[in-house]
Amino acid sequence: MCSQTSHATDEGLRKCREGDPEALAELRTRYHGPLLNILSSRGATATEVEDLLADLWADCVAGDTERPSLLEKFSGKCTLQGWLATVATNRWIDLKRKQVRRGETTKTALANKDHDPFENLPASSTPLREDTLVNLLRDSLQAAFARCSPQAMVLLRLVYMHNLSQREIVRMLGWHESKVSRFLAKAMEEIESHTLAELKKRDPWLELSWQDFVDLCETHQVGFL
Amino acid sequence: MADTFEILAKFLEKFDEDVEGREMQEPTEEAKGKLQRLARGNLSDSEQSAVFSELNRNPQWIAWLAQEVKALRNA
Repeated sequence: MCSQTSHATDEGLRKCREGDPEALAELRTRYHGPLLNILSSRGATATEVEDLLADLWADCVAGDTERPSLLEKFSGKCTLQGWLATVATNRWIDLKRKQVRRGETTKTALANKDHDPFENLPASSTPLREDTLVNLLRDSLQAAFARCSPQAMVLLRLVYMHNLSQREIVRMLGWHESKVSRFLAKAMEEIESHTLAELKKRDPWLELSWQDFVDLCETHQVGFL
Repeated sequence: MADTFEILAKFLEKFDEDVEGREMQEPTEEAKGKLQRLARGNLSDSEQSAVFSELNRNPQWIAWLAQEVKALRNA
């Protein structure tokens, strides 16, 4: 998914960071539709999408020295669309979790009418955290890896991280080559299903496809900020 | 699939808080002997199972095993 940004994009970004209204309008025109589709497919409502994107575009406009353009954080190591989608998804997950916490507080208050529900809320609102999504991806993936057999994890690393051939695995284990191939494919299928199940367990409203999950990991791995 | 596992594993390497310093550790002498036998296909099923558990607990040793296997390519 990720690649170096083109020279044209670099120039456009520079203008956006400097507050050029035309460049900012072009940025919005180019990416608003794709981001709307991505957030909707991940489970955000139409209202949430509109609010998130309105905030996102507003944050791309530089304020004073205290509040530079959000685009200053873009490292250029992945696509701009992938990066914007990751920022927006991160914010959306924060928003949904806050809503869930508020809902739980309200339920507690209804159960105990004499108790002020706002006493359960933090003293100050938590600022948007860039690591919300990283923690979610990491925890889900760690849980899925932990459910894999030691043999599966080691063989996956040998083949896909250290570039051993399946024939070399055959020689090590005394298996038939087709068994190695099936074993690795099944291990990957289990990682996929366990990871997505872990995601659902943590944030049931989040609709991430496996490709989405992998893309988000790649965006962070190559250098999100 | 190759790319997918690599992306996931590298993501965890980058963001797992418990991995610092792992790459510096070499297998013990006893473990090296077992890994060399594994590389040559000389471990029984039960011995393989024990070694895989040990490798999974010490993932930094997997690179050492991979080097052993690669060294056999020209043997």
